[in-house]
Amino acid sequence: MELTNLNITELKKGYKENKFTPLDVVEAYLTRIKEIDNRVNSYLYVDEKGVLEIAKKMTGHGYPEAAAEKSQPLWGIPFSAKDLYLTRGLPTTAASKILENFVAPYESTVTKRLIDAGAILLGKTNLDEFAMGSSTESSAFKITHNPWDLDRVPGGSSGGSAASVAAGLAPFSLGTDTGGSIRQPASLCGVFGFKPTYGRVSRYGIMAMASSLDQAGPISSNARDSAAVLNVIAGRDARDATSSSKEVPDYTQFLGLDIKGLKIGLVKEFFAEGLDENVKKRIEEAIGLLEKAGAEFQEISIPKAKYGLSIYYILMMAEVSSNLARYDGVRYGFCKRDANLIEQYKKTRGQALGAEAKRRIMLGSYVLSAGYKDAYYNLAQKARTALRAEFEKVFSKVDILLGPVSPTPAFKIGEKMNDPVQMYLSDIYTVPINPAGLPAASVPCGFVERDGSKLPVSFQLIAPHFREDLIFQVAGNYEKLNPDSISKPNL
Amino acid sequence: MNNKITKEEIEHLADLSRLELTDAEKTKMAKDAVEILALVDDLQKAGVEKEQPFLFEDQVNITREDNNPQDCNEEEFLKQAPDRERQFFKVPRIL
Repeated sequence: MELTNLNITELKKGYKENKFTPLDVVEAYLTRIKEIDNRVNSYLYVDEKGVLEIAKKMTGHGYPEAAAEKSQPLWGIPFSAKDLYLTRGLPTTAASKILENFVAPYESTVTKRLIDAGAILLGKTNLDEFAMGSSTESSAFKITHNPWDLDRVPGGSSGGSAASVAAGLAPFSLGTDTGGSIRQPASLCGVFGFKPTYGRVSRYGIMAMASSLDQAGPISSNARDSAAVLNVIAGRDARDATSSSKEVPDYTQFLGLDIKGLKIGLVKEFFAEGLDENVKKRIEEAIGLLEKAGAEFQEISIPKAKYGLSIYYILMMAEVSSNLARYDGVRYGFCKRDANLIEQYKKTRGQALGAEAKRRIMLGSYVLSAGYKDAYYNLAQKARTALRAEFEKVFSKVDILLGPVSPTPAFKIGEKMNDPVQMYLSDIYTVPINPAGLPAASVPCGFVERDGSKLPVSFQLIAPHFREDLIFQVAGNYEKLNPDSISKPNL
Repeated sequence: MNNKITKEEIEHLADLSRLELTDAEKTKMAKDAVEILALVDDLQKAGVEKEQPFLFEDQVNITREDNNPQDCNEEEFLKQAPDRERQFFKVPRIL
């Protein structure tokens, strides 16, 4: 039995039946990381010594029969986390030179909840610097390769997280999603990615990119694993005022519910020009399967969705320009000394921030500056109101929406790096969801051939606020209808 | 809306953004900025001028006592500082 092939349910079962121990599992992952990750480059840091210590201790205490179902539902389950999560005592870099030597002095709420639930943090995964990008190529440290074709990008910005799950280097990972950064890399790597409703999961201790859009969520091999992780990380946190106190249900209970009569909307604007024909075909096949299972499809329109990219980029850049002001070389991180404080700020930031971060800070300053604020920032906030209202209206007609995640399968490394506009367009179907604050997931649904490579494709499910249950219900049904949709590359 | 951004504008934005840029960076930034602003320019025609700007309506300000949470360790934070003196962050003279 290959331990690194097991999902969370299988690992839990194995522990319960005494087939293996956390130490066996952690050692299997560390060995596989050593063997494979020099080709994938998904991790920035692996806490080898720390995890072995924890796994030994757990193994010594033995399986906590009573606690495993209640307080420690993820006992002995390893995971990786995007290096945007603060993890106390461990390097936390946001893949930026400005934080190259930063060691987090406190723990994010999400990683703390997972660790308290018995999960074991293997290490920190690569990302686009400060989560800004769609390919993980703007990391200051390394390029992550797509496990299905090493010449291609894993997507981004949570590219290291998605690649670590696809390559069998962690059973699940934590990503963050500001405009698609969980869903798009999950799609390009053929794994399940879940972005909860804004406010469902605490953002405390996660480095902020655009605070009104950012949301944390899991990436895993299947929907059930993400539901099990969401059970632990969701819920009110006194340290994030935007976190919701709405009750957290057991999300795994929705996977088995049937979808007979469920109304699924197909957003007309998402199936328009620009969507790769082969990707479209896979999604239409998925629709066919769900229809046979009793779901009722209807075409709906969200006319403002075509402005999603503009709304998203304007608001995100504005929030980036203020959120990244804190990286000034005074309290932490890289510092380029100068006798004049303002010059010290400028030199520090000029030398240690990457091209994409600078671009977004500059344009954020532009859209917020006197003379342009009304034409850009204020207008985008008005359009955001209109976009949210349109989503609300379609949810009075249908239960859930289905569409593509990414217009194309994984692209080649280097292909879009010098053309920011082309890179931004790869997020066209994911970015409208964040200004609306809706929950959405990326569900693998087959493969397309590209230059002799087999590349994964996913469809996206979008639900009303706090209706995560509907996403798990549809995804759970789909995985049962098409079990081949869950597969791993040979590495 | 804007089909050109001057070098002076880029320098002004860099100043507001507290970024020192090289000449090559300024040239590339001016080109990228024009293209990105053109990408988001369709919003001018979206017909949303009469809408209310978005607000999280259910959010209220929450305050708490100004105390040191038990799990934060001052030394652990200060250790990250590029320059410090005792329990202070040290910066160049500003007056």
